[in-house]
Amino acid sequence: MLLAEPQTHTALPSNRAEWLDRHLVRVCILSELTPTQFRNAEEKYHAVGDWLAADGGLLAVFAPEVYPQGSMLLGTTVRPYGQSEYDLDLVCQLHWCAQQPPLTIYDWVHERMAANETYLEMLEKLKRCLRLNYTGSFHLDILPACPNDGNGSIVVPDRRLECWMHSNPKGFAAWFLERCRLRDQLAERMMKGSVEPLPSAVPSQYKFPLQRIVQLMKRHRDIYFSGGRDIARSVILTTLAGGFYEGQRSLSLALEGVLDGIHYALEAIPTVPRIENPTHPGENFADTWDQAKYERFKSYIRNFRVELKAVLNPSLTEQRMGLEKSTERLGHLFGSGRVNEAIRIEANELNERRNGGKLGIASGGVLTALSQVGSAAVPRNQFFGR
Amino acid sequence: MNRIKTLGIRDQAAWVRSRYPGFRCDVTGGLLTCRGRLRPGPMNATYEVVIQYRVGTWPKVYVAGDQLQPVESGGKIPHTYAPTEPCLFYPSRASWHSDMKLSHTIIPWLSLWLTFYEMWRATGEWHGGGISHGAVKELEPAA
Repeated sequence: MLLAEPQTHTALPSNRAEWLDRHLVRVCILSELTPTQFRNAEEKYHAVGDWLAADGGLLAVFAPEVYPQGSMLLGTTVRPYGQSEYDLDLVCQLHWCAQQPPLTIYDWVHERMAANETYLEMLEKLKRCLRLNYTGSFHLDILPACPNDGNGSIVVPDRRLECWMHSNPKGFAAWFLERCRLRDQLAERMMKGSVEPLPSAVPSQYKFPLQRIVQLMKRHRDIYFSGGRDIARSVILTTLAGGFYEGQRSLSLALEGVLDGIHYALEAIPTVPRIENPTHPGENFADTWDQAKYERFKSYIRNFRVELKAVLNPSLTEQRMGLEKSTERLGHLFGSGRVNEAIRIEANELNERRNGGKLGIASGGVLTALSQVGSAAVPRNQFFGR
Repeated sequence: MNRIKTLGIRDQAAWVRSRYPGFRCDVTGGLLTCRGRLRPGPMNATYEVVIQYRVGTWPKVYVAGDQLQPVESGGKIPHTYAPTEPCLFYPSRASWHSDMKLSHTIIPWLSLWLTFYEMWRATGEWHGGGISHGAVKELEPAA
């Protein structure tokens, strides 16, 4: 499995980008599945897979295979705006079935799910998928599918159009994970020529900057469009972020680079552009955009970029306003609740250092890790007063 | 009984100057006044601070001008004696005594206080802990 190294910090951040890197990771962690929820979701989808494939069941002859797709496969989940439940997408891929009418496949999967009393109670029919509602935690959207060719490409039934729609979640994830590589790892891989296997799902502490970037873009999308997702679909954000990311290690600088890249590319295109599926040329992810939607998408990117740059490189006036101004701007981007919570976590970490005798001060008065050369220990104290 | 070796005012000044070369220290009539700038971290503002100390009294710190502001006008800033005067330690000999160097206690505590002050301004919550005035009836005399 391709994983980033878990990050541990012995030093305190020494510049704004380093501070922002840590702050943004905290915002992401507050927005994604907790490790317990993650394991729980994995258990649930394995159980669904076992049920669908069980011997003697309606679908057993089609050897169904259940695997995650979308944000769960990419490691880019964020809790939807104003909701406590995560959307997790699964593919239920049958075999030797592409000759069947699309609706038949959909109905077969539905019938098999409904044959389980537990699932029946929480089952819901949606346009392309079947939804299992795990109230208060997440819902699993199960997309019935048939293979299209040997390359992981599949077709999925569209109930409304009653036709097969093309999809390639495994191919897209392979492309995305390849784009996640850090610049130095990329060089290493080119030298060795090795190919890593595809990860099934990535636990949060091992995430790459690009995965965090997509989470942050989705979170700001949810804030900027008040929960509306049709203009800045996750697949568009993922494709653009993956296209413009250049392997930087610093999350904040990488995010700035991605937003710069998207901004300049779109500013040069006055009319609605195509945003092609990188693994299926010809498929346009932006096929629902009209000029108005495109303009709103551009303004979302512009706003994101301006706010982020103001935090990274503040004016002198804003610098004098200290953390308060940056927190206000970050609140506009990701919601003040999560940003304040991230500050609270930062404060807890600072207090742990302080109480553990690991806090130091450098000669300019900058708080630092005690391990830093030239720093002196900050003795314990208790602030006094009302 | 008292084994504290009180540091002289000029030793205190020398320690401050050596740790914080940007600070200016003057001694007039036994009163040490150190002025300098503190910026606790990369996200923080720079503060003009003043430390005053006379042997036998508690050190006092001030943040110059109107740099410290309550969230609501007329409101209170947590852990302050006055709007410009942070309370850095519980005034007892266990917290601070006159063999301690200002440079190694008061100034780092002020940096820490400013960090929590900015977090408080940003989020409305004081994360720095501490003891409230009401919890103490009578202050012990300075060491």
